[in-house]
Amino acid sequence: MKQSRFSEKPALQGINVSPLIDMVFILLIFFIVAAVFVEEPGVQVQRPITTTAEKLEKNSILIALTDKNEIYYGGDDIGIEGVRPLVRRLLRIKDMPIILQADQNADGKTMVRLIEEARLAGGTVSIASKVP
Amino acid sequence: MKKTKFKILSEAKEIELSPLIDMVFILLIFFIVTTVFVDESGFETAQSRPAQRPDEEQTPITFTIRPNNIIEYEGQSIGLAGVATQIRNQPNRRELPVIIQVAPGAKSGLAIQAMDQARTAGAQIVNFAKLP
Repeated sequence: MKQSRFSEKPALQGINVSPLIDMVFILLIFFIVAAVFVEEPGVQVQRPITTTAEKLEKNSILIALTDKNEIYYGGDDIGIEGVRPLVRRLLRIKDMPIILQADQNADGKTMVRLIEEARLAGGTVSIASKVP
Repeated sequence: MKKTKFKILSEAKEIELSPLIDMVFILLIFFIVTTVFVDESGFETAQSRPAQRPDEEQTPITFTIRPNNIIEYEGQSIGLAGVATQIRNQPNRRELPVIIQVAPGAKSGLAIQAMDQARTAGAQIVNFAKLP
């Protein structure tokens, strides 16, 4: 019974799925390679516009300073006291640069203090800006 | 001829591919969801490094960022473009340390833009400092 059915409709043997699997594998490998596991600060800041900006390292510790002078890492408000222990802990796992996303309306003194705190923990600090 | 071949194959039990494909799809979706494309531009804040020989140490050029978008140099208010002009007037601007003092209440955006201006003028060592 089964055999006769098979011979009757040879065109309906089943869709060839191997190209699909190939494609999915290629996509998978692309995303594995492209994946950068960084914690985003989780807040939007208005970066100041600068002309001498360079591309910054993708694998970084991203810390945001909002216009209300809150300091965010990974979606949490960590406060200025939390910066040094956080950076020290993260640098112990892996040596990464720190990118500070400072809002252009944030308090300058808080920003300078944040940079100092991050440096005391042993990090190098870059400031994120917008290219015009 | 074809029929017999099919029969032999079906007896030899084909490998079941669907769980593999399912798993690969799940991995793919996981990586698509978790991938964040960090694309930050900006610049690194220079670490203040001690001078090799004390006699080579240069007196830094200091700018003060005050509230209401005022940049001061030697007590005079200069505009944002004045930062670059002042540094260009210095004889050896590449080795010249630049300090950007941030007064309480000043905006961080202006401090970052002043640092950008100093970098435009060719200064290599630019640092932030707090004004007590």
